[in-house]
Amino acid sequence: MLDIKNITVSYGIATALWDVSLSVQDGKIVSIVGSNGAGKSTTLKTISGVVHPKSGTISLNGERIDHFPPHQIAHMGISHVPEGRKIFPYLSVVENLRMGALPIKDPKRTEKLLQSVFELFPILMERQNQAGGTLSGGQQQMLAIGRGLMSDPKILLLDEPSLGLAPIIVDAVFDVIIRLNRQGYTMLLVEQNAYRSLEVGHYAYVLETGKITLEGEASTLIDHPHVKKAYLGR
Amino acid sequence: MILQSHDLVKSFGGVTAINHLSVTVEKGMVLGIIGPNGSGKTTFFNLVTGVYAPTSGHVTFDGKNITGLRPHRITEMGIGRTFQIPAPFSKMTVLENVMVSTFIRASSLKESRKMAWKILELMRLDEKAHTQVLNVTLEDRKRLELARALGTKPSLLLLDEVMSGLTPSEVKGAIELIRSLRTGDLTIIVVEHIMDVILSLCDRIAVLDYGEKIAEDVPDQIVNNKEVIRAYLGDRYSARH
Repeated sequence: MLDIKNITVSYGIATALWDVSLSVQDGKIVSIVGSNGAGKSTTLKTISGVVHPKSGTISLNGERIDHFPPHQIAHMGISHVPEGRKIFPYLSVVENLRMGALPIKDPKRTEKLLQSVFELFPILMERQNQAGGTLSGGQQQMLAIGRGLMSDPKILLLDEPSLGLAPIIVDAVFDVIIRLNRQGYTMLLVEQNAYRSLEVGHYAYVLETGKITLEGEASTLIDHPHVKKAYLGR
Repeated sequence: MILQSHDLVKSFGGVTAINHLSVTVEKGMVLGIIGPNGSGKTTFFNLVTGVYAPTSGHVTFDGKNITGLRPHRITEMGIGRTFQIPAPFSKMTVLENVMVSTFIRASSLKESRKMAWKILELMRLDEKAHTQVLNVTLEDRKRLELARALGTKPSLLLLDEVMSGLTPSEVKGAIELIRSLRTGDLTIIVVEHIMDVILSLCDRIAVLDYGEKIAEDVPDQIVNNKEVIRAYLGDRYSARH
């Protein structure tokens, strides 16, 4: 459904992505593995329209989206959950969630989405009137994912959702990823926790200094000698 | 013993972030502090380094009561720290950033530069010395954060999640680097969520939950401690290891 063909992305004179092609099939979890600075976050930002490619195309169900502004891409069903959560610390939990529903024009639908997020994350309902910044790191991550779900997306772009979280919370985050996938969400997942992301992923790409160097079934890549040595640290 | 916190309490309004915490750190050891997000680990560092004054209790360092002293005084006395969210001078070079730290021990520009170079070599950052910080990778920025802390010549080094965001292979390199600091008398306290880091570096581990110490022991005992598994590691962690 999401098809990226030969994109090159530069920040000024520095090129972050060289001729990158990848595709995300409906209903799958696709993982991107790579070192820091390899271009993982740039890939997600290019898809959500925060940065635009210098060349190449991105299409969603056959329609080119690579020069659309971010809000329009959000309207089309791609939701970006950014690295570091980036919640609004002084807005309440429920206000944070409603911010995610800006593309939804029907208030009844917003309420329905809100209820389904509360169902997924009961803790957010419990704390709905609390300021976002007072939540723990794990709860803030749930809030960021919940906000991402409020635009009723088909595809979730998840950037480092387990970053800086306690082991028990990391387990909970990956549980949520699996649960959402079973509910039908398609996901593109960027993680520094390469092992866990290959474990949950169906398909995976290895990104090195802005180029795709390896791709395949995630369950195969997890045993690939290069991946083992360079990303799993074993 | 080099550091001791005695019955330390810190409240923010109605929230007790640190609740009667007593910790003793022996000279030359590496102590790990783990605990859920929001359990008080960074607050503890902020109390030790004078960012906050405690509500009650006290901290002694090297036999002196340092409770309530200003951060710069505590740095001068020999406690260095890194920050979870590093704030380097991004338009200055890597070398200049470390020189800002070494200046507190140097009497001239030349001397501070010489000291900074030594640290850059130790941190394998010498090739990046003249690069502006905004142009270095996350891995190098993490090392710079460590270099800036070392620049103040600490006898006690507090590391606050210096490895978060690194890939497992980068983490391995960083562990080696920190291990190489374990010569001489340097005492280190490590706050980290990556258990591989904690287990491979620490002599002892203290576990915080809601600002209280729920366990303190050697690594082997901690990973099997029921209370720690409940509050922090999770059942699956212990099943996997």
